[in-house]
Amino acid sequence: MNDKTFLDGLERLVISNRPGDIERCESNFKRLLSEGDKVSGPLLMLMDTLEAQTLQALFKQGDIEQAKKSAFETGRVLALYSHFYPADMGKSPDSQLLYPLMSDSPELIHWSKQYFIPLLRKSQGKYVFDNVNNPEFHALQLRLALAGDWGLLKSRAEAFLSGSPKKYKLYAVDSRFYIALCEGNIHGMEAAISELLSPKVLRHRDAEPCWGLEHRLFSPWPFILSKIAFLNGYDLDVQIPNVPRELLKVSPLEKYESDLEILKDVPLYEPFFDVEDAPVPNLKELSPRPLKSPILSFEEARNFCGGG
Amino acid sequence: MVVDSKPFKNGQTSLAKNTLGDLQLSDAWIKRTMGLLPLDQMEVHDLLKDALSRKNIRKLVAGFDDVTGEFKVLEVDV
Repeated sequence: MNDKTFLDGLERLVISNRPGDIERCESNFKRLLSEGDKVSGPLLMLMDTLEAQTLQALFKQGDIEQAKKSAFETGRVLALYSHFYPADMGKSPDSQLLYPLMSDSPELIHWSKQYFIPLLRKSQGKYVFDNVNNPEFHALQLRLALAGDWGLLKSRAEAFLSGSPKKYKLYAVDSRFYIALCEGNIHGMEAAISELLSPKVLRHRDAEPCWGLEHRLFSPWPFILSKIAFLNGYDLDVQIPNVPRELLKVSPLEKYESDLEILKDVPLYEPFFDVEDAPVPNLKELSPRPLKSPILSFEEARNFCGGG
Repeated sequence: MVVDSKPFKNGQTSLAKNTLGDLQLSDAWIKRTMGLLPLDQMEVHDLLKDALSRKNIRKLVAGFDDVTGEFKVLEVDV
């Protein structure tokens, strides 16, 4: 991306982070909640503002600590959104991991990698996560990589490479990265990131419609995959344009706090409620588990949905 | 007011999930569309942000009916 694009990206952030945006969204959320009305609008607009704050801190102020704090708040609002709309994401299910990963918050990352519910719906009797045409397929790969579920991750990556339609050839690099990750092959991971950073691939991957605020400033996919490698203990020698290397390294803040009032009533690990007409059954059992408990594996999650 | 154009058939139409998993005209779909607006249309962004935040937004589907030839407009709640 050139300087003009980057400056346009910074200008765009100002639009999403107007003075008073946060207070207005919080106030509207409380009012609608008290009236028993839908709260998706104010929560999504609050996310829009917090995403812009995160990116401003990172790319305008160069303040990584503030960026991690704002990214944490973005992820917490997304988690709050999931309590009202558990099977919906508010963000596409693969891009949803960007801000939790940026935050470096162990708790938020731990929550995010177990939040399988939106991936477990079925379409025409088949799970959406098994179809390479769906974002849920890729979203599950990211969660398996974060959770270290190597067997399933590798077999799905190999299946993608051997059987996906030609139109997805620019996504094959992700599968090569996952296979290298499963094998602990650092050079393979670095080669995949390098390929992902090539102009031919980036031109397409940066332009995916899930990257509204981000794509003028940096390339999210190389960051996401590299960060997953770092979280798994691999210190990759990669340089992602505009992304400081400190952001790739695993370095959580000493404390993660938020001034957002609306986050105070719903703890991150508050279990979901079962509801009758939910597109995914057993929501309570599918609730992400806290750090000190055994992680909810994907196999368990699938069994709670009746297997298949 | 947000309007999505779609063909009707005998007075009926349907909203689909896009490739990212959002139902057309849902709040999440509108948020994503806002993110893709060009820089010279930011006043649209501001209007949508205010309307979504206050839940003061009407969502309509409009289009011609392939069977009857009539122009139809339908308000939806998604």
